[in-house]
Amino acid sequence: MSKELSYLEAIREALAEEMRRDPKVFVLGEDVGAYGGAFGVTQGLHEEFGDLRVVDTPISESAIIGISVGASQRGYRPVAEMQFADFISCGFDQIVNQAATLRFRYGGRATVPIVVRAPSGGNVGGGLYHSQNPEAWFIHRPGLKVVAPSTPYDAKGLLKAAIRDDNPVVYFEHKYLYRRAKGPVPEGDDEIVPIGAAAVRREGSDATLVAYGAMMLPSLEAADRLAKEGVEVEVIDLRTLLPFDKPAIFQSLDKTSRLLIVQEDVKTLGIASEISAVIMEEKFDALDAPVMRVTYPDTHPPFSHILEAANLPNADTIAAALRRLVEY
Amino acid sequence: MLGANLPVAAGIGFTFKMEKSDNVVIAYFGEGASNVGDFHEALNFAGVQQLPIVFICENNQYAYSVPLEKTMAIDDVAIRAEGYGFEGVAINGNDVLAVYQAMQGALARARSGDGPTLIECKTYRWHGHSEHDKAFYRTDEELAMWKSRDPIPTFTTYLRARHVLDDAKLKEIEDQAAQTIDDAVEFASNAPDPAAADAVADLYA
Repeated sequence: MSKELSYLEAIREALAEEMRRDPKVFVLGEDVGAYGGAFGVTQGLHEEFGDLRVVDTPISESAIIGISVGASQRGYRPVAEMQFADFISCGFDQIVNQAATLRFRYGGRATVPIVVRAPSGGNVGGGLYHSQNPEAWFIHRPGLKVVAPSTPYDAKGLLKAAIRDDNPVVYFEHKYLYRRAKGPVPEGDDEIVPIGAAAVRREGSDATLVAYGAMMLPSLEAADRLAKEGVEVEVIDLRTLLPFDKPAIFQSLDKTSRLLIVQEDVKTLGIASEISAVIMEEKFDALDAPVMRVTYPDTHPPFSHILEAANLPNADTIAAALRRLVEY
Repeated sequence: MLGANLPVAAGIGFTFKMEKSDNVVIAYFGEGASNVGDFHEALNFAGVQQLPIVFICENNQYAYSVPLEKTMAIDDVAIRAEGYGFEGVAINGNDVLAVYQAMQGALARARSGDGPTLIECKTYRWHGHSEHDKAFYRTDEELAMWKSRDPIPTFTTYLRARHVLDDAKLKEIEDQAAQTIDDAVEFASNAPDPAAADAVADLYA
């Protein structure tokens, strides 16, 4: 029986193992040093690896990413922490115009092995500046990879894969899952979860539900409810948003002919929009119903728990959408 | 983007610090870039970490069309270094020896662990922001004054007076420079056109 870790502990274990394995890996960010990070993800790392590999930075998100890009050009593999994904906008230019384009600008003669960790998501009472899901900004930028694990297993395995990847990877870790999600993690130095591969969390033949991150919890709950009503929903965890696992979705659609996509991000031009467009272009003939979406509304996260609960997709709204989908 | 190279330079400088190396990063930018947030973030980090970096500001008096006095309320970009805890020096950027001496001092500081230096080289650009820009925003007198400070003839005169340079050596240097440019133009002119598929190449390792 393998050990169980929380999602947060799984991230920390991935960092520690990769830093022990490869002296070129280092972490930097705000409060990541002796304090151990705003959420405690980097606790213990400073003690083990010291000032030069666990670097407390000024509140300078653009510099944090830029320093990472610079270090990567000397063979290092920096893991930059944005204290909250909401703050990533302050480092946006360095991600989209430096990290994402550097290899292209050098005609393939450079690699940019950096990871930007971004604690994202709501349902934690964080309000406008501590709850956002800005993944769509980055799936819109060629040159980047974007991952969003939902389990401790994937949190550890995808972070290790991201650190070893020679491309810039934006790693969205969901704050709601930090201490709530617990489970086994990959053991041993070389067990990674490959970037680009989705996972089928529940098999079914009546409809396909694609989700990721913290939306996996209400999605699976909704699928359970539908099962009691005699509807078997296949639930796919995307795990990687760029590039997303098209074959996994297509394969499921061949079986179910119906697709619901759930995202915590706002509705307009999110990953759900892109998946929906790809299905229309390449898989239209498989469909027996229009592709449906359950998303955050096109608005900003409020502080009020009442308003946030009204905005967030939940098992009720997802189950209702699944019923509409199978009854279509 | 302007100034975006400065955090990247800080990252390279940080690796030199990790390796206790003698290497020094030289990072170039214009006075216009010193108004971008990345300038502040990079110089602040470099100061805090005492990184081996020489920040060289080529102050050519104009950010595209806008003169210095309309983009900053100070005369010298160099004094910004004080806010980051390291030395800044403003020098005549058209004086080859002044640049050399300032650089020697900055490199010595970087290599002895005393951190970065900001060198502001005051200079001028003869042409516009780019070749389409006729630069109507400046006077002919101003351009003529700066042309009279052209560092190449100024330094040539200096070297001739000290008998370091004679006509033959000068011609050799000028021919060599012209040849380098001719070779580059020929290389570029003869390079094959890209294939359409190249447009989507080199995105991922």
